[in-house]
Amino acid sequence: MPAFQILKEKLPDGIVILTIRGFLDAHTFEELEKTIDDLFESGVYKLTVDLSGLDYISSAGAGVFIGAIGRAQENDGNIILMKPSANVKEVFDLLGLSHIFTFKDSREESVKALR
Amino acid sequence: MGLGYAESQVALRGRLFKTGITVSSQPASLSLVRDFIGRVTERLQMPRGEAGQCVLAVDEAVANIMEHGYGGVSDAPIEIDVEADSACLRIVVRDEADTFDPLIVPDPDLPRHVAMGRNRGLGLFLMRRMMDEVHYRAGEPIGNELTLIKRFHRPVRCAF
Repeated sequence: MPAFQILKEKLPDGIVILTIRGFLDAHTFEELEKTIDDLFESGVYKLTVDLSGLDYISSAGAGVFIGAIGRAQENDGNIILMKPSANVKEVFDLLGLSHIFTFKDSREESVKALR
Repeated sequence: MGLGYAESQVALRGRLFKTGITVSSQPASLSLVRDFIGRVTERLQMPRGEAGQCVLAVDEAVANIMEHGYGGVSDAPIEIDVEADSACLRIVVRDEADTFDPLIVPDPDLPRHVAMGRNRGLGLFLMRRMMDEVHYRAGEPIGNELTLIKRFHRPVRCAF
């Protein structure tokens, strides 16, 4: 199994769910950054990111979300984060990101928050 | 209980164990480093949360060396020595890059950092938060040595 995987699912209303799995670090963050940049370029600014399969995140990984949320919100979109594990959530907490990002426990709640 | 238990009991009088790894400065080495520190914390039967903090701190230290110390050069050495005694886990990260004390870098103003969408420069902050102590020593004539210390909040014993 690769160290890092991104699955992309398009929903109605211009919403995309990204499911990321594995290890998001200084080696793999560029893959996620490019995926999000490509979505923005195609006019998709409403994203839900399913973190339930993410085993690990470092500051480089969290930085991808910091860099992206402003652009999403400027374009009437948002980035909703879904079901992070305790260790992943701890990194968001320590970086003060838990006040900036909306966390949801289910796909339905995440999608609802974007509509 | 087998031999490992006996060894760990003897070792508890002083050092529990000492081990190390040297990796090249390519980003793919980060997973090797994390696995290595993960194995150490398992061997010490550290609580999961504290173990994860050690893994993250070392990952951030090494990623910082790769990006800033070696400037993206992928074949330079990074040496990690680990030793544990009954009080703490001590992780020493050495490189051969130009000397630079990362501890002089102030903590970022997080709200401002995030508001500006700055997506880098948070690793050292996290590293310091994850560990109980961080010390720096410049090498002679080049190189850097960063010591990360995690104190044990309950007695640990090696699991061999």
